This record gives sequence, C-alpha cells and structure tokens, in this order.
Amino acid sequence: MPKIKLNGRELEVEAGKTVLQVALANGVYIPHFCYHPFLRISGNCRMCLVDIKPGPPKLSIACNTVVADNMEIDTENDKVKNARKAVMEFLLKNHPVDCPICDKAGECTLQDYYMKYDLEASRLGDPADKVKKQKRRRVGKNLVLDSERCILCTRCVRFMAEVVNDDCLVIKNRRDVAEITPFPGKQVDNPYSLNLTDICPVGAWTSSDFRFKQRVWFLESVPSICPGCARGCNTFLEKRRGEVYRMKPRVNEEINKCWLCDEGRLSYHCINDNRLTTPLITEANQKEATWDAALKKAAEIIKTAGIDLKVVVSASLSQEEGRAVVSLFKEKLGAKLFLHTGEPGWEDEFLRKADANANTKGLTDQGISEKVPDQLGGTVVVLEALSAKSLPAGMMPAVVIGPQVSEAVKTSKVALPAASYAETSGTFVNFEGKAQEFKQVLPPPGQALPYLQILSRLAAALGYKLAA
Amino acid sequence: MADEAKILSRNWGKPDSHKIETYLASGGYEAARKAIGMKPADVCQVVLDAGLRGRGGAGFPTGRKWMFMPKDDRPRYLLVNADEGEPGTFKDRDIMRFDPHMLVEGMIIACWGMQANAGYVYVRGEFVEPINRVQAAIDEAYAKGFLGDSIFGSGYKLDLYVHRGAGAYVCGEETALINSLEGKKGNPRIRPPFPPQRGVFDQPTTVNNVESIAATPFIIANGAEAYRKFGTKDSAGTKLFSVSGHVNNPGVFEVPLGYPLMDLINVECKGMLNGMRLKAVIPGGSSTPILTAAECQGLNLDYESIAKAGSMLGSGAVIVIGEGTCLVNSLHVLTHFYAHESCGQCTPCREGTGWMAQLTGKIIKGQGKVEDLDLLLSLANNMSGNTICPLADAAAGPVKSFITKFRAEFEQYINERKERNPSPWPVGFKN
Repeated sequence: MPKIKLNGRELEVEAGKTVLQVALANGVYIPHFCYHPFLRISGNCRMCLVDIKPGPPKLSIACNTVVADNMEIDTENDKVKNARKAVMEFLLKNHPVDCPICDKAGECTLQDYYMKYDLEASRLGDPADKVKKQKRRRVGKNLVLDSERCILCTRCVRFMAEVVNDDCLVIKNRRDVAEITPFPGKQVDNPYSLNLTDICPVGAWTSSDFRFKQRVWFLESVPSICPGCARGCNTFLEKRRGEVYRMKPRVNEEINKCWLCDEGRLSYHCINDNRLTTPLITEANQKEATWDAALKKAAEIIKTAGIDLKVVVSASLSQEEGRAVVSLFKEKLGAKLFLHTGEPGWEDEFLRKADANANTKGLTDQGISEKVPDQLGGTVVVLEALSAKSLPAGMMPAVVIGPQVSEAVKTSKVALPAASYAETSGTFVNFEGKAQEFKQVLPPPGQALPYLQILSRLAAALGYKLAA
Repeated sequence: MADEAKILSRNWGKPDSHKIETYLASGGYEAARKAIGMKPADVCQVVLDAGLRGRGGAGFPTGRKWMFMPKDDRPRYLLVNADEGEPGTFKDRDIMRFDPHMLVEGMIIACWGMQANAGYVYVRGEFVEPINRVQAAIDEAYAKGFLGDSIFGSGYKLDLYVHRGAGAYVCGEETALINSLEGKKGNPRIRPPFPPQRGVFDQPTTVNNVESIAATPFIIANGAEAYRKFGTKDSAGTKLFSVSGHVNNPGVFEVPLGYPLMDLINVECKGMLNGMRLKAVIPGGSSTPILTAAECQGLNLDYESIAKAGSMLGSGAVIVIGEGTCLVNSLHVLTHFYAHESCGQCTPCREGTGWMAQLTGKIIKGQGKVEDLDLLLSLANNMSGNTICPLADAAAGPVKSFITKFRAEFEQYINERKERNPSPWPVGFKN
C-alpha cells in the first residue's frame, strides 16, 4: 500500500492505481476528457496534467501515472492551473462554440470546464481563422457527427475498437485538420452505437433520436431498469411534463458498466406512444367504458369460464405483479398460468440477451413457467407489458390487461389499461438472478392503473380480497 | 584536424564504398566477429565506457540504453531509426548511401549486445537510394553468412529487415516509429510502458539512431579508450555534422565533438557564401533554438557547450544563416512545417502548431500585429512540455528563440509590411 501526499493530505492508497483514479476516489477532482474508466488509457487530451514529485520538472498526466510510495501530487498549484487554461484555450481555438444550438449544452464537459477552469477571453482575433471541418454528418442509423465540435479525445474510436470490437472509426489526417470518420464505405451501425453520445464529452456525437427535442437542463433524470431484455441494464429515464425524452445508462459495474444497446435505449418510445388509456368493452366494436363497467364485464367472463380459465402472463411483469397474478388467478380461481416470452431475439457476448423480457427468471421462480402452447382453447385472459409479444395465431383473448393498444387488445372483449414499468414501482430479476428495484417515473396515462390495483379491484368484483 | 578523426566517414571517398568488398578490404566485419566472441554484457559495457551518446538528438548513452533491455525470455528487437526528417539533417542518409555495411555491422554488434534476433531499419520513405543501398548491403551480408541462421558460424541467429516509412516526420519519434512499423498510424505512444518493456509487437525494443549504431564497430574493434581519444570528456567520439545554408561548401563533415563551430564553417565549409556576414546558426536541426552570430563565436560543438549557450546539439544539423536572410520568413517556414507534421494527437500540439503557423502566415502577408509576437511566445510556452512526444517542444523552440533573439527584426517587418503591398513569399508557398 503506497503512501502518497495528495495536495498535502497524506493517504494510503491501493497499489497499481493511477493518480487520477486515486484522486477521484478521494474526492479530489482532476479534470479530464479522454480518460474514461471503462476504456483504455489514451493520454491525448492533456487536461489531467498535474504536478508530481519526485519526477521530471514538467507536469505529468494523472491518467497514466501509477501511484508510487512517497509520491507528492499537487493538483491545484499555479503551474497546473495555467496548464489547464492552456489546454482549454487550445481546445476552444477551433471549436465552433455553438452552444446555443448544441444538444450537448448543459451536460458538455468542455462547457463545464470552461466555467470551472478557464473563463478567459479568446485570443483568436478572427473567428474566421477557425479550421473548418465536416458538420452534421449522418454516419449511422442513429448518429449525427459534427467534426468541428470534436475535441479528438478518441473515446469513440476506443469504444468501438475495444468494447464492441467493431473497428469502424478512425482519425483521418494529422494536425488540426484531423477528424473522426468511419472507414470509407462503413457506417456506425453497431447495435451499441448510441453509447457514443454518452461518452462523447462534447456535442460531436449526437443522437438523431434526441436531436433538438429538449434542452437537457429541463429534463428530470429518474433511475430505472431497462425492460428490453433479461440483462436488466440500469438506466435513467429523462422526462419533462409527463413525457420521457430519452433513456441513458446508469453505472452498474456488475451488469452493464455504463453501456446500453440502442434497441433498449430507444425502447422508451413505447412509454409515450400507442398507450391504452381507458377501459374498453367490445360488443360489436370497441367502446370506451368506465372502470366499474369494464371490471364487471371482465368478472362475468371470468366467472363464466370457471376452472376452464387460462391466463397468459407477460414475462416482463414485475415480481410484485407476478405474486398478485398467482394469488388471484391460480390460488383463488384455479386457473392455469402460462408464461409468455415471445420468440427469442438477437443475443451477443456483450449485453444483449435473446430473452427479450425483463423478468422471465423471477416469474419462472414464482411458478409461472409453462410456455404458451400454439393452440389454447377456453377463456383466455392476457396480461401484457410494454412492447407486448404477439400471441399465437388464432388466439382470441377474452380479457386483456395491458399498457398498450396491442393486437390482443383489438381482438379482446374487455381491455383494461395498465400502468407500464415507468409508471409503477417494482422488482425485476435478471437472467443471473439479480433482483433490481425500479421506481415510478411518471403518473399512469389517462385512466390507466397499476397492475396491483387492477387485480385487487378485479378480485373484489369477483368477490375475493387480495392480500396487500 | 578532421582528417585523422574519421571513424564514420573513413570509407566515403573510396570507389564502390557501399559494396561489401570495399568494406571487407578495410577490415570490415572484424568488429562484429569480435563482438560475437565476447559476452553480450561486455559488449554493452564497452559501448557505455566509450561514452557514445545517442546521435539522434537526445544524447542518451547508447550502452545504457542497451542495458535497459530486460533479460527475460521474450523476443527482443533492435530498431534503427533512419527516418531522418528534421529539416537540415542529412547525415544518416550519407552513412546509408556511402557505407551501409558499417550500419549492418553495427546492428550485428547491437543485436548481440542485447541478444536480439531481429533488427529493423526504418528508413524515411523519400530516401530511395539509401533504402536500396542498405537492402543491398543486407543481401550481401546474408550471402557471406554474416546474417541469417548462424552468423559467422556461431549458431547465433540474426535477421535484419529494411522498412520504408510513409512520409511522416513524427515517425522519427521512437514510439511513433514503432506504431508505424507495426502498420498503425504513426502516433507516439504514451509512456510508460517504455519501449524496453513493451515496444514493437509488444516486446522489448531498443530504438537507436543510424549514426549511433554505425559508431559501434569502431568502438568494439579498437576499444572504448580509442573512441574516447576523440571529443571531450562528456561528449566522446566524433560526430557527423550536416551543414546547410549560406556556406561555400555545404555537406556532411565528420569532426570530433568539441570542434569549434566557426572552424566547421570556415574550414570544412570553406567560409560563408560569397563572403556574407554570419547572422545566425541553428546548431542541431530546426527544432533547436537559434544562436546569434555573437553566440557562435568561440562555441564548441559538444553537448555541454551548446546546452550552455542555450541550444542543443540535436542531430548535428547546422543551418548557417547569412546576413540578409529574413528570419520572419524562415520562422514561418518552420512553424508551417511543424503544423503540417503534428500527428494531431495531443491537444496543445495539434491546435498550437496550427495556430502558430496561422499567426506567422498573417505576419508574412502583412496582416500581423506586434501583439501577435507575444501571443506566439505565450502559445509556445503553453505547448512546451505538455505533450506525449517532444514535437510540441520542437515546434515551440524556434518560435521562442527567433522572437526573443530577433524581436526588433520581427517588429520592423510587421510595421513595414503593413505599409507595403503584401506579396506572399516564397512564390506559391501556401500557409
């Protein structure tokens, strides 16, 4: 355990760690652009220059200097501060400073550091002397690249090469006309491409999905879990005025580090779109109804079915919802439960699992494990979640409870609007058996209610009482 | 004086000096044979004792560098840096043109000293003739059994390769050279790890200059003391100086270290061109600080004396500047060069070199301001020492020394240029 002095404070630190890691862990912030905890060290931005003794008289980069016994590190002396100002001036020399129209403004490291470490006026006399590079290039399905904003920290190049093994990005040219570009004929169409918008410290990489939708300082960030597959990546849902505008990864070293797949990230759209907001009763055609009428109708159907009742449960319902389902339908009504997982999707070695459901493992452990057969006779109740999986052809559900206007809802006799995972709280168990809680982000839309309320009201209509 | 001090250039005047027969006739490859009879550690020790210092510019003791190589069972590599790109430097080119076998023999000695089984010569891509000569020399050495599976029948295996660079100045920096040799973009690597720990192909590697390696056959053949007879106490041996600029007889000259600069100009180079007065000298390649005519008087060409005068011996590229030369133009040529050659990796160098070139370009066009000189100095200071490799320092060095030492000339240029009709110089030169 080397003993070091950090800004005069004596510390005993873990051997093999870098000065930057040690400083961050001990509450001393050293500014940095190119360093990223989950990427290889590059050492090119020169923002993390600090004064280290013993050593050469010049400043050393904190990100690539391993701590050693008796090291004295000064991160705040005038020499260091001036070096930071110098790096900021160089970075801003050719930067367009188009913050008013940049999506990154508000969460841009360059902007933040300018306020914190620089605040000097530009010494570049004529803005026309800035180097011109390619702007607003669509370089992939979901990405737009602005090379003028780029500070060439190479985080994106390293992410593509090291994390997802897709060597599609490169820096072309030398000197101040260097710019990030996909290899000729290539696009950044990797299924993890949108992570570039997170790791880019400036507004060079922007998401075509999020561009110009919201200023980030208006967004409220709420922690959540991505229900897109069995991995259970940790996320933030960012909302404003009852609408979710984007999903961002939340650091969890054991599950997703700080990454997300594009499909999961863009799945937030289904929280906003195509929602079922009122109960429906279908006689000849679907009609909006009151909750009481719809519940009464549903109870009638279920009572009529008796023990012939079949319940198809989405594998994306939470643990709590699963327990209520078991309690009402299996224990009280004696119905047969089926777990609806849908067809397996794509899978890779990195994050994505073929099982595109949030809680397959948890519900299976609760005894809801039987697969939905191709033919299912009798009275069928379907419990759906967001991005509902299609039912086997020909199945005509009598009652559907779900958050979306799905195919099943359109063919049902009664449809009850449920809250999605974003509008309720609960627990998902991922494929490794890790239980993760998520919190309510938004109020349910329209008349939709959380599953637990719907099920207890349905139980009441059937003459039962569900345990809380 | 210089005649008896010929070590590196002793064969240069001979007919067919690049052929193995000529080299063998003057006792060639005896040193390599002798080295292979010695313990590898002793070879390194002799080179260290001889006081041979790296001739590429840094002046680090060559023997010490060899001793840094780890003694584990990983394959080791010798890289010879022949990417001679510093403006004003052309000494390695003549070694490779006129006596490539001295380089090959030196590589055998160095590889034996470090127990490396492969060596590469990374030659600047534009050096077509030197590349062909070195390749031919290696082929001849293979044919004689001096290279290959069992050199001199000793059982020691050594293969040498010539690698042609693709035209980047920065690839003369050792880690950029390693990247380039591996087929990657020639960006310098961050240290640590240093090349002796993880160099080319992630294996222990030593990078030496052509001239350093070419000096080793003499040292091994004649011993450390014989080499120390030349030069000074701390700067032992002889050195090639490539002299260019306003002299009557520019070229490459071998003189012992510590040789007076003015003698080099007046004797070897036969004086200033057309009797011009001396204005300034850049003593060690374009990146070293410029010396005024007054500073050149009584200056000796060795590492310590030049450092004391505020410059560096560098690669021994002496650029002689006669009275009448416009240093504003000269500085612009240099800033433009460094801006063009910055690899663009580190922020201060990428943006700073470009900015400096832009500023000097404006001055040349008559759009400059006197305050630009202070901005240039400030930028140069902000770049120095803050980057991965020394290219930023190399770019900052001339800016700082030109402006501080010849400030009056710069100010006069700026003030008078504004009044005249701006005409760009040189013709067709794009800034």
